[in-house]
Amino acid sequence: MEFSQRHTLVGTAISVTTMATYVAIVVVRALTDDLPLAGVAWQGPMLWCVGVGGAVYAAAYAVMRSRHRGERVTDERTDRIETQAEFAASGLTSLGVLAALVMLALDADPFWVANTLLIVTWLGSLVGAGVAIEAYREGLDR
Amino acid sequence: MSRHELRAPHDDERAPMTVEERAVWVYLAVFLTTSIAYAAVVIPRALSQPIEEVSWVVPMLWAIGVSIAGTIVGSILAAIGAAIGLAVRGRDPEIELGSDERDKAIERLGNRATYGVVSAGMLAVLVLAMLDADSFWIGNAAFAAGFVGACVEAVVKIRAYRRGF
Amino acid sequence: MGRPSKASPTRVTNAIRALRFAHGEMTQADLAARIGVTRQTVIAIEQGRYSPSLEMAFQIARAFQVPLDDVFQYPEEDPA
Repeated sequence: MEFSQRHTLVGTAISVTTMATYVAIVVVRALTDDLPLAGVAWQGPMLWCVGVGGAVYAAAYAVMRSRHRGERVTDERTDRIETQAEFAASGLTSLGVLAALVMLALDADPFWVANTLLIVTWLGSLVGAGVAIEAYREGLDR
Repeated sequence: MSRHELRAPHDDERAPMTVEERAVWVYLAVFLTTSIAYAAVVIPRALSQPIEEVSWVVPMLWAIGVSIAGTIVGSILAAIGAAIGLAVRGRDPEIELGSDERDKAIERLGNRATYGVVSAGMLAVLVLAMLDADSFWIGNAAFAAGFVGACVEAVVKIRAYRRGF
Repeated sequence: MGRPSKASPTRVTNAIRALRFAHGEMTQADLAARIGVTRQTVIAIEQGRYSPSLEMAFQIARAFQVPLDDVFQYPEEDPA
């Protein structure tokens, strides 16, 4: 498997694990402390998950990259795949911004605004990763 | 043989923009107008009252609604106008205005540029929400991220249309 | 804005213009219709502002019934 494909796959796995952990922590806290979901202190877990997930990804990236040292890993094709992936991701992300604005306008709790934003942006990145992985396997569509 | 002798009828004649390029210009004009109008309404309020009391919600919803509706209606009108103009001159609108692989590539290029900007903006919004900032700041940070993203998108696309990529 | 080809983002040059004339003054619009793109794209390719996909490049060559090499040229590597 080529480097770009592998690091997309690994990154996706890390991102899914991180997100699941974060959601689990928030839900468990709500259940054990008998709080409404929006009453949970979500800031700490989010920061931790983003921080730890980011660090694990950085480490994994460094390890994978070192196995291709001195090798060229990006070119015209990987660049085009990335463009296609980010194009797919951008639609959902923009929708997330719009949703967050409307929720703020309706005076929703910051808990819901922040978490909607996080989850929609995350879903966007998953869609992007899916498009990229598909393109690495099956080829690009023009 | 010089380049200029090789000129068939209508070659290089000012090509009308394709529907997609036209839509980018409409988009740029519409969101610049609505954003400036929004700023003109909200900034004086923010300067004269405590931030928590500024009512920014209704102006922002109007700005967003008008931007979306205006872009859609404006692009359709621009496309129809261009098609009629070409038809009157007896040209095939399909070949002048349609959309092809180049339009698609430019579309992707522009949206990709926005993605980076908007994602960074989202991070800022999340941090503001964590710090429990007033919703005025959260909302306007998100709006600003969208605005900058839209500007980047329009500029990248127009550049690609005019200069190549 | 007709920019000089110096600023062109590609080093590929092409003979599409000459080929069109060798084929009975085919217009940009005729060629565009034949390969299924807009006239703006034909203009962008002729001016070096757009590198067509390989598929489109072959379609252009086929429209003129010549090999690809006769349509597109790529300069030799210069030592600098």
